[in-house]
Amino acid sequence: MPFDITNLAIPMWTFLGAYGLFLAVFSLYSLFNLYHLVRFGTASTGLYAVTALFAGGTVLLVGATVFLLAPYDWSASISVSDLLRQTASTKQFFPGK
Amino acid sequence: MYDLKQLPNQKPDEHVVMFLRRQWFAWAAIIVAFAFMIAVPTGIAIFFWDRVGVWLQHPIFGPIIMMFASMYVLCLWLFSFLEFTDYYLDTWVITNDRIINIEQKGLFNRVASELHLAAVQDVTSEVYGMVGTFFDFGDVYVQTAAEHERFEFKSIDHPEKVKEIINKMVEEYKETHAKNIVAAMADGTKTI
Repeated sequence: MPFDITNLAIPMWTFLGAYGLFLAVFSLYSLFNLYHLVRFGTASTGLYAVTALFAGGTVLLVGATVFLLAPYDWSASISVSDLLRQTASTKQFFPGK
Repeated sequence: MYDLKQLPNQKPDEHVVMFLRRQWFAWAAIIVAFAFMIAVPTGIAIFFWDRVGVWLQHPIFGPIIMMFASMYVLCLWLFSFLEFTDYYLDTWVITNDRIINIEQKGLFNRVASELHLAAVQDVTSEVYGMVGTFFDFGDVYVQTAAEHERFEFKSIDHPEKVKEIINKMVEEYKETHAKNIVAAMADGTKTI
């Protein structure tokens, strides 16, 4: 059977894998940065406040992302032929046109 | 973690006279840039909400757009924090014995150097521009006995005052040092 790219189906969870990889790199840099601050910073209330602000903000941002991404169906697959058909139709992306 | 009461290699009679960082404009610029880079795409999304709302409900494009938006915000958050770390870890400590310069260069490079007050030859302060004059910030340069070596206090508050304090500390140090030598020679513990 000849290869046809339109027969391909990409599972949605692969995007979650890419996002997970991004979060891993983000965590690594964040931890390294926090280590720098704690190791070389001067002991002060400001330092503790900024460290808590960053940690709290990160938890809040990641939590909000999880909350917003959870309702989507991640078990679905993207069919390339469907995708091409849908992108060809501008009506659903530009309502009123 | 550094403790200003316990500096590395601190002498028994050594104490911190001044602890300096770059002036508040440095971290205010980080906050303004972060707020601007969040506000612009948010504003565009709100303005075109009738279209953006439809995209977000799409079973394929919705989660992808949401993921990219999250990655954008997290990247901004991280880079702002990295910039803040760079600002926060650039410090200058003036004691009654030496000047310590700690400079963070990016995330992986760090330079710590110190200069004994005895080596200070000349101190220059520089205030530039309308903003610097209005908010009283600028640079202070400390020239040492070595021909090309000089310490730079970049964008600090009240540079003129800092210059005066360094000059005063150098004079006091040299006077005390001279008295100690004279006393030692009088005791016979030191000879020329």
